[in-house]
Amino acid sequence: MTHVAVVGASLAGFRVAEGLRAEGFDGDITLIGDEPHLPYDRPPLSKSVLVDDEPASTAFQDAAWFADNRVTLHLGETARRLDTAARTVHTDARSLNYDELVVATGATPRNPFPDAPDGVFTLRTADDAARIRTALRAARRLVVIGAGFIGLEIASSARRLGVDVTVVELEPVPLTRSVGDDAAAVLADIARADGVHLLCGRAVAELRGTTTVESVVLDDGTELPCDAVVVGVGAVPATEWLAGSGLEVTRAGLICDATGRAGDHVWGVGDVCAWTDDAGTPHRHEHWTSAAEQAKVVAHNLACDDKRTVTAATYVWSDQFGRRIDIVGDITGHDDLRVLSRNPDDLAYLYARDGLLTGACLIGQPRLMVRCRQWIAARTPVADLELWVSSAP
Amino acid sequence: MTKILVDLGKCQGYANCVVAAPDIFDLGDSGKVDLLEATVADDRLADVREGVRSCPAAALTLEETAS
Repeated sequence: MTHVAVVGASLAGFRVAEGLRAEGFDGDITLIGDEPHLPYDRPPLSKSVLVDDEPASTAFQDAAWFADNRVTLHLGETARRLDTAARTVHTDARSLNYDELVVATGATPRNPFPDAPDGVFTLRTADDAARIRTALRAARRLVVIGAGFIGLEIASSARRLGVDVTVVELEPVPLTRSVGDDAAAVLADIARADGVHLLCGRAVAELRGTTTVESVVLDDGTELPCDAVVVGVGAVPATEWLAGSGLEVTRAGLICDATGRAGDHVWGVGDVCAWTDDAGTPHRHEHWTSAAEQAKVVAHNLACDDKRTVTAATYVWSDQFGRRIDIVGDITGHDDLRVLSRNPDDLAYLYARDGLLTGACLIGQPRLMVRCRQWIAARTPVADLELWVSSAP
Repeated sequence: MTKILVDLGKCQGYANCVVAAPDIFDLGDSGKVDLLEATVADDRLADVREGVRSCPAAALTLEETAS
C-alpha cells in the first residue's frame, strides 16, 4: 500500500493530508511536525492570539480527527536528512521509508540579531506568539523592526493593548515587497493615524540592554527606549535538511514544477518551496491561500496521478488597524495602473500588463476583491472591464 | 441532502468559498458570506466542500441530512 510521508505539519502539510483523504486516497499517511502542538493555523498569531483575553484554539482538527482519518502524527520531531535514492526521511527520532514524500517545512524567521538581549522576539510559531503575548502585557514601549505585514499586524495588536509602538523600516515606505509605493504611503498614513510612530528609511545599528532589551539605536544615532522588540524582516525557506538530497534548492526554496513536483517521488508545498510559472520562473509565495491551493493541487495529483496546476489568482490579506487589506494577483511588473480610490476606507488600485488585469490592491472592497480574483484567474482583458474603461485617465 | 451552515460571527469575508463555488456562495455588501443556495445538489458537492475547506476562518460547515 502506498505510503505518503508529509514533512511539516502546518497549513500546507496538514492540508495535503486532509486533501488526500478527501480525494479518496486509501494508503498510509504520516505527518511529521517539529512543534509539539497539533497542526494549527498561523494567521491569528499576530492578531487575536496576542490581543484576546482568552484566545480561541487555532488547531485545525482535534486528535480524534487524525485517528479517524488514519493520519499518523509524529509531533516534536525535526527532519534532519532526506535520502531520495533509498526513499527514506531521517528525523531526530526515527528513519521512515516512503513511497511519496511531501516537503512542507515552511520557513524560519530571519533574525539579524542572534546575540540580542532578552525581550527580542520573532514571530512564527504558537510558542513565539505566547512569548510576545506575555511581553506585550508587561511592556510600555515596543519597537517593531520591519514594516511588513507581520510587523504592522503586531504593531496594530500592541496598539489595541495600549502599548506605545515605534516601527522601524529600512525602505522609504512600509510593505515595499507587497504593495506599490503609492498604496504603501496610504498604509503608512493608516498606521500613523492609529498612533504608531513609523520611522522609514532607517536601519537598526544596535540593540542595547544588559539582560533585557532597553533600547534600539538607529543608524542616525536616534535611541528608542523600549521594553520589548519584535523583529519582522522576513523568513527563509527551511531547506537545510534537504542538503545532499539531490533536489534543486535555491535561495527561493525547493524548486518545484507547476504541478508541485520537486523530483522523483518528492513534492513541495507552502513557504518552503517555489513553484515554476508558465514562463519557467520559480516563485515563492509566503501566503496562506497559496499554501492551501498548492496542498489541494498536490493532494489531487498524488491521489489521482494527475498533473493539475494552481489556476487561482494569488490572494493575500492583512488585518491591521481595523482595516482589511487585500492583495490579489501580481502587482509588480505592470505597464498600466488605475487608481479608483486613494481613500483609506475604500482604496482600490488595479494593475495590468499587456492588456490583461494582473493585480489589485484593495481596502474595504469585498465585492471588488471577489471580482478581481475571478477576473485575474480568467486572464480578463482590461478592455472588457467597464470600471477600467470608465477610469481611463 | 447536504445543508450549508454559516457562522457569521466567524466569517471574515475572505471569499475563498466564493472563488470555489460562486453559484452557491456570494459576498454581501457587509463583507460577509451570503448563501445563494442553502442546500447543495450532489453535483455541486465537490466544489462546495472545497469552499468549506478553504475558509481561513472555519466559518462554514456541512450538515448531511437524510433526504
